[in-house]
Amino acid sequence: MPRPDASQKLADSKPKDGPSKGLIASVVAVILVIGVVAAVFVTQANKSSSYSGGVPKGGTSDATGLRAYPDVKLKAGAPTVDLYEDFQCPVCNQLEKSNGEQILAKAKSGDIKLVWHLMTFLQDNLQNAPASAIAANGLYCAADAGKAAEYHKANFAGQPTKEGAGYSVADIKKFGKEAGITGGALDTFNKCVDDDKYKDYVAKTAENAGKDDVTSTPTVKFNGKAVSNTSQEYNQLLQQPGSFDAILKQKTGK
Amino acid sequence: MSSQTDAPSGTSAPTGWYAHPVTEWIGVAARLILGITYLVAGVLKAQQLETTRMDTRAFQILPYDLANIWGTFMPFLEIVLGVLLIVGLLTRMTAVLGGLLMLAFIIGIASVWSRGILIECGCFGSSGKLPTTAAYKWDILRDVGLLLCAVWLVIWPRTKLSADRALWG
Repeated sequence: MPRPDASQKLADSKPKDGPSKGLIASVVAVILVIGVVAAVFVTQANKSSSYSGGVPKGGTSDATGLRAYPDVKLKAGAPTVDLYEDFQCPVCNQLEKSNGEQILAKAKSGDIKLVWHLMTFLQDNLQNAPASAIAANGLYCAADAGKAAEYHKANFAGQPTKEGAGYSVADIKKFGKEAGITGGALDTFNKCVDDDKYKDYVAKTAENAGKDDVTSTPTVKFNGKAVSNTSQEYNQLLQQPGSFDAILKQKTGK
Repeated sequence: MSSQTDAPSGTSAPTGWYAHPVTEWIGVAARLILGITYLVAGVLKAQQLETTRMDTRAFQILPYDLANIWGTFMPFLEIVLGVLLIVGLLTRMTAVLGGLLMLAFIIGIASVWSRGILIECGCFGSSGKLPTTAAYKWDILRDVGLLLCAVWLVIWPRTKLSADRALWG
């Protein structure tokens, strides 16, 4: 006896068609395309590994920071202290208030080689570009006038109490004036600020800071070794005024 | 999917307690919780890609370039998943992807927690209070909750008020 024709029954019990393969494929394709675009974007942005733009006084030709007091002769075996900061970062300002003077004094006397690495991610985070970048540019302009340390101090002193308020070009010029830049040098400084002269240097140093595995500010490195931001020493540097000398000794023996 | 020929006729709709309408409403809640979270998180991250890339690098899991690529890609993936979940299109597939992504986040957070790394620029906890790793347990708890939403949707992708329902019943 032949089996009864079950095709009707089968069709009835067949689950309804779900999403078409085409739809699934197109969603997957969209996701893949975003991935490829991201990959191309990042690799392209990274390609420009060498730097060929202008260099402020105290800077390096490969844009890896700015030395404070570049004319000071270092004492033998002076350790290098790298400071990674963003002028908009309130915690950096805490470090500045607690230990800024001491750090500068050590740099001025040649006991340490102090290198600032200005970062700009907070303008991205706070959505107030170019506030961080013009402040960093201001420091480099001041460096040309030989007043980088003074500018660094003035800029942090003038950090807005409300985070995110940012800096205007007028603020940056004011900091230059407060740093003691006068006369013709002040004109040059103001022009440098207006022209955003070290724009490329700002971008490249920020990028290089990321390549140094710095992912937060402030980061303090003694002879290339970062102080962990969960350590006791880190908290002391931020919160205990005058703690820098002891921590420098502990970390470098100097 | 057309090989289920042995299903008894008249039972093409699921039966049992999970066929109860409440289940499909729970599915809606799961979709919205997971979907809105992904959409909001994705938009916030996409607005600050530089920071997102930096935070991704801070996990110290991927090498520099890969971390940057992932940090650029991930926010947009989150947006796509979020939108699909909210409208309820391809629910099971998006729930699988969303669940895997959540699993990756949980592993990432557990990894930095165990290594004592602090992912926080330290810039938003002003007033002298510094962030600590103590917050990680809440992050993981939150992500486990979201992962459960995804798991629910993978098991029971049929939900009320969904594009899937409107298009294919």
